[in-house]
Amino acid sequence: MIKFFLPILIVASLALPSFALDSAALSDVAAKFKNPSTDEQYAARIELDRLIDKATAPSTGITAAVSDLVVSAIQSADTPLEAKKYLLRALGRIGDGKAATALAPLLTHADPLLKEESRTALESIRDPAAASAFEEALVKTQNKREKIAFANSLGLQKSASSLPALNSLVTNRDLEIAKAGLRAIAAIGGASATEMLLKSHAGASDGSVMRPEIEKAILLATPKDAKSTLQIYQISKSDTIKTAAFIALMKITPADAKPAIIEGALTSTDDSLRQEAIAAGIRLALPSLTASLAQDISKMPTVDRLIVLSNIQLLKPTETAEKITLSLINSADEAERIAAISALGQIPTQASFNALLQALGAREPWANQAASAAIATVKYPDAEATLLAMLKSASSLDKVLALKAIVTRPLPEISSVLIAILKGTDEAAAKEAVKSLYFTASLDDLRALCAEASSAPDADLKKSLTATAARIASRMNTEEAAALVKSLQ
Amino acid sequence: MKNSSNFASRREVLKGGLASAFTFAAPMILSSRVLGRAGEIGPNSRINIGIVGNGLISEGHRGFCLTQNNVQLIALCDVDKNKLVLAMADAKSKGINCDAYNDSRELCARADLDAVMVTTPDHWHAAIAIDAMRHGKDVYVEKPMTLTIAEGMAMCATAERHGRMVQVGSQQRSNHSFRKAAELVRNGYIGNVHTAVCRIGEFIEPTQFSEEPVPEYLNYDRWLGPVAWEPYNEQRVRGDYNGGWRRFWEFGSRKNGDWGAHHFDIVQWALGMDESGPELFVPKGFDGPHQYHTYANGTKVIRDGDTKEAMIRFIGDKGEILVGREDKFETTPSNLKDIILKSSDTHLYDSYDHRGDWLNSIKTRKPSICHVGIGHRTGTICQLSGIAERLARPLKWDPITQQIIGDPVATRMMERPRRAGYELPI
Repeated sequence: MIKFFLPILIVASLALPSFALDSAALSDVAAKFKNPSTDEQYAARIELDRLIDKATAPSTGITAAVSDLVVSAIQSADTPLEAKKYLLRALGRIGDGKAATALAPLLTHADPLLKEESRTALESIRDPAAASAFEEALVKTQNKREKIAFANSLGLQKSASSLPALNSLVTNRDLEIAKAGLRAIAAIGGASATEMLLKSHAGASDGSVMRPEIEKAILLATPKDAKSTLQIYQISKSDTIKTAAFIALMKITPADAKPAIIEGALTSTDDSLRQEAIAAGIRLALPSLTASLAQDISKMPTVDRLIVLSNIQLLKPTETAEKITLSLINSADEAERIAAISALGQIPTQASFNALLQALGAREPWANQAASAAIATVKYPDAEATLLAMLKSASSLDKVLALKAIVTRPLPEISSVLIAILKGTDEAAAKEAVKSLYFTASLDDLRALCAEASSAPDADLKKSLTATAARIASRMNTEEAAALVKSLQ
Repeated sequence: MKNSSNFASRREVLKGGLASAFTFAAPMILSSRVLGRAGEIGPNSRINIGIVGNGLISEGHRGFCLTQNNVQLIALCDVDKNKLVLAMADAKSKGINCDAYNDSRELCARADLDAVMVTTPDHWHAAIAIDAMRHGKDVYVEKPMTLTIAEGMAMCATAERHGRMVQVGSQQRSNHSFRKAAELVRNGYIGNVHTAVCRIGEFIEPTQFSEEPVPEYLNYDRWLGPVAWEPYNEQRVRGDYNGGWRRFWEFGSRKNGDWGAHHFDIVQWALGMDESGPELFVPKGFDGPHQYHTYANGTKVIRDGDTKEAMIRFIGDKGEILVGREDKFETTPSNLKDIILKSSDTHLYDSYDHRGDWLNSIKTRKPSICHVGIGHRTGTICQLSGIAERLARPLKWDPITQQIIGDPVATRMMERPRRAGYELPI
């Protein structure tokens, strides 16, 4: 049982006296895979992993020796097949170039399971020896699934020396094999890969199925090559590829070349590309786009107007952003109206703030919600002063709107103002004040409210203030709050 | 602190009359109409959606799609014919005739499809999502977004390359209790947060299961997909929130990828670490009875410590927050729960409807509340916690370079080799 371990044990013992994994232990665990109990088999699998993982912890410094041990176990005829499967998976975690060389013959093993487990183990060992093994295996196999898998493994090895082998796949009559070759070349990337792909592209006919696949591969292989990317952008007939190329160009192309590209894309009939161009144009403050938006945004399709609104904070000048947004604030399209209200929250001007307050009073609850959220964060510098003035104004509507606003945009030390509204004759404002207090009152506010209630000159007012205090206390749900309200009864 | 708060949303009050202010019903869900258009919607302005995976979680997604007037569910896909038949029948009973697929690649290639919902087991998420994105589709993908860190990076790269909108199904972000908790933490209302305790739970241990005949209704090879071959057993493939495929490392990160994907995600959000992550992952039993991870500032996130019956317990030097589903929300001091953020505070992304937020993102082309980058960072935590557990040793992580430090074996576990025939599309 231990014949394959013996030489390794001696070497390891001499070289590494503190060796955490001995061959006997490995052999014992491997034997446990023969146990018919599936629970025992699983336990063996865990034990095997633990032994190997413990021995290859960074502090041990003996990963190479353990790798040798595991390779020997895999090569031994005495090791059960099921154990080899998990030994191979472990080797994928710990193996080195030496292990890759030793395991290369398994890539053509007769047992399909062992062959596949060997491939995945070798794939994880990023080493020229593994790449060489895959190149050889790629040539030998006639199995389509294996060819594709070997190509993929080569792509992950990222070895430029594998490019010729992969390029030979690109002309394969089987499209899936050809695509696998392209993907692998793209994954390796770099100048040689790009040159190869460009040649393939030049050789592919206009309507060829492979043409868009090659274009995708070029974009992947040359993420920073503006010239190749522009070429693909200009010649590709695929909307998806054009959009990807456009996105890449916005990152890598020189600033002075961007306006022309964006202006061209703005006329695209493909929504994705056109919308990317709108966002890019706003980010770049493209004068032609800004002018067109300012002139009449209503001419744009609704789907595009949503893109403008969602990028409104980037649109300059602010006056244009404000004008555009206010023009859409009463849109019949619900989604657009919500987007416009949200956009107002990004524009810190008086007109925007006023429009937000109006939206708070709209009949549609979704408009109220959007306005409420926008008011909470809008950076309009006079927001607090405006709200305070509205609370103290004679206008009932102003008061109500301000009371709604302070629920999400609280004003400091406002309870006396709210209590005054509660005690006043404006019924609508008083109702709104109850709601505002309900959500905004602190314990001190509740104390003030209770004091007002206890000294209220008439029974109705006392009842009303007490009821409001009770609701606030219920929301607070604390003993202090409950005690304050109890004192009123 | 007495009972848990069932605070009414301010929106409810803004939405309804006075009476609604004091009627505490279920948390308010924004009407789907918000995302649609007033009145009838023409077929061309609807978002055409396909769903891949029709197991447990998909029912809610399917129901959502079937009831939105700005969505057309046009395609369903499953490797399990029985599940597919049931899903098709459900759609048909609501007057919708979908096309059926057994192979997600055919669904993703449909030119008339705008978006794809990926509700398969975890080991299929990345491949389908990436395939959909490279065909120009937007994607809703269940949590955890991916099986491996490498897949997460590939997802991010693909979404960026194709300008696709991805929403990850960590829907607690769209729950107002979790958002409020995160906002209070983020703005320092409980002071310096030194600890967060998350209730994650445990699955029973996996086992080897004996081989059973593969039922004719299941394409088992495709169900396994990229995962190394294991013999069929019904218990291995079963959808079961208490086990099934979720028990196995091969198909996920066990509980770390299950509840961890929800709660670690909220902690990331609360701590403002959506573009970063922890620096140390310590498995259970290595340094005390609990698994934990720590951030550079010392904040420690403990799995399954004393959560005081909450799902997440944030502990700061000035207070605590207990938060959970069904509006569990308690604070110490108790008045913290009533705090209204100042306009100068950080207001977190506000979504009331996770799937609706995704639809909105599709229309506005703005990243959704749990976009691909966030899903990747949270998934990374789930996966590193799992790797540390499997290797039974702590891992150091550099969240800037996104590399494991000083452990080459663990580093290789950032990706998993894929079975022949199931290569990751790029």
